[in-house]
Amino acid sequence: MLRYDNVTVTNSNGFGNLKNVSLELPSGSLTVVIGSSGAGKSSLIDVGAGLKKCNSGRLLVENKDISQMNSKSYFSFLKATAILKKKPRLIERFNVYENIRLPLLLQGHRAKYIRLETTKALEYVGLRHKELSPIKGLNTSQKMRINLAQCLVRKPRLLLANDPTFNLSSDDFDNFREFLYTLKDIGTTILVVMDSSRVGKFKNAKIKTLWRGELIP
Amino acid sequence: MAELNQDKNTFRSHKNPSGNLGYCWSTFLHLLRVNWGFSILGPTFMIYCSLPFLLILAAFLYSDHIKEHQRPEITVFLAEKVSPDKAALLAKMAAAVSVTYQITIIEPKTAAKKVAKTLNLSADLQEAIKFPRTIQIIFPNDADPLVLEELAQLLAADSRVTGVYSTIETHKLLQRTRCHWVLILSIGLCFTGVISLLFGYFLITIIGRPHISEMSTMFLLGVPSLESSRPLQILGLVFGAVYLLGCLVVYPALVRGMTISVDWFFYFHRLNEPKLDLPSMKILISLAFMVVMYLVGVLFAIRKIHVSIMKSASENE
Repeated sequence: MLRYDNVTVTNSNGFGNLKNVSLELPSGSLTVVIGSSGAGKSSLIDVGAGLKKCNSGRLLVENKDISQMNSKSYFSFLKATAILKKKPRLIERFNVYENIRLPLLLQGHRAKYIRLETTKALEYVGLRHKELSPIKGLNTSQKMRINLAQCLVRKPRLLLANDPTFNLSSDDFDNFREFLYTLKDIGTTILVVMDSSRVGKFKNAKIKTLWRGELIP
Repeated sequence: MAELNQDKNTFRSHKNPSGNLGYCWSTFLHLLRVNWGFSILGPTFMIYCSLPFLLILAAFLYSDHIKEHQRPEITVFLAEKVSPDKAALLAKMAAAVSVTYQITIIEPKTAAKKVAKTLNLSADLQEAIKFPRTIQIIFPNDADPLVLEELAQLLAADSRVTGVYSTIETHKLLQRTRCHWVLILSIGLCFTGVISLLFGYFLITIIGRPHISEMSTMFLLGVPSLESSRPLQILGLVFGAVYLLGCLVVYPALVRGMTISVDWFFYFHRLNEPKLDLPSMKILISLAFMVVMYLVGVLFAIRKIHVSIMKSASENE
């Protein structure tokens, strides 16, 4: 599905570089990369999403070099890829329901399907009672759950998660882990980067360590 | 959640984003609502900034119009004893010296009638006025001013002539000022163009900046920057159209005001009702230039916003 082939990234501030990283994410796999601050975790996710260019090496999406993709192919890839950041990315002027249904609207689904899927996702993340609430009044945990619900309705082929549990409680982390397994079950390829403290809780996951930009098996 | 897991049919159904249209228009209306102050003041300010240029343009076209319609002329006032035959002889002599457009011998009564009509004088006063016999010689626009000046001197030296009035100097002045007008007009056009460009750039940047986070979220959902910034592009086009329409509405009013003022200033009375023709090609081209410059500013702003979207999309905090 996704393959990092000797990827090297040099940031201008010298922080979070990647050195000859090679990593293969087979379809439907769950890979967890752990590393301390500045190890290059965010760079790994950004390169995977095509948000950052490699200085050398290449990123292959289904054996196609992402740097060779035209705009149409790249945005098709992005549409099929869910990206979770440390800080939830939501549209403030929309309410909870509107935020969750947005990806489906953009994909051009029918209203009935959108309503059904959005309601299911709202129930899954436990925010059914908040569906008409504005985003502004919600806490970080609730915002993150909205992001997870967005991922669920999208049914992405690839999930790139950049330590989304960073600010979350232990209960939220358990919910997040359950969410990852749910996506894995429907065939989503998952790459999660995080710090090392909670990695022991993952089962059936390929775990790698990133140390000063180098991937240690 | 078991239902979701089983729903694999839609796993790869990433349809064409026709849903972007709904987002685009709702966001456009949202931007209009949130930035209602900018939406009103922006185009108004741009029209206000263009007023000096429009005024210069109107003055230039008006001076061109005057030059075209006001041919150089010499008015010769004859002595009282000069008979109509001698007046005609003098007119023939003038026609022999230079090419003329029209020669009219104005009888004293006709002259008094004209003046009385123009100045709204009563019949008694009209009777009281005694005008000399007059020859009005009108020349073509391209007549040589040197020849006309010599002719005026020649006529002034004639014993049958009591006075000579000519518009040759005015005509020469109009010709001389034309190059100055063109220079002022070019500077005004460039200046207004630069202002339009800067204004387009800053207006869209100011409106777009608080919206960047939303556009970067859309980017992460697979919407290209060009599509997520479409509401801003439409907003830029709408402001441009309002700007153009505003200038087209303001211009005739400026022309009207200016022609009335000029007529009063030079003649102390209104000669003719100024004509409000459709904007000429020169005006349309000038306005199109200003709007194009404004749109270039909008394009620069959109381009900068696209860079900011990418930057914001890759931010992690």
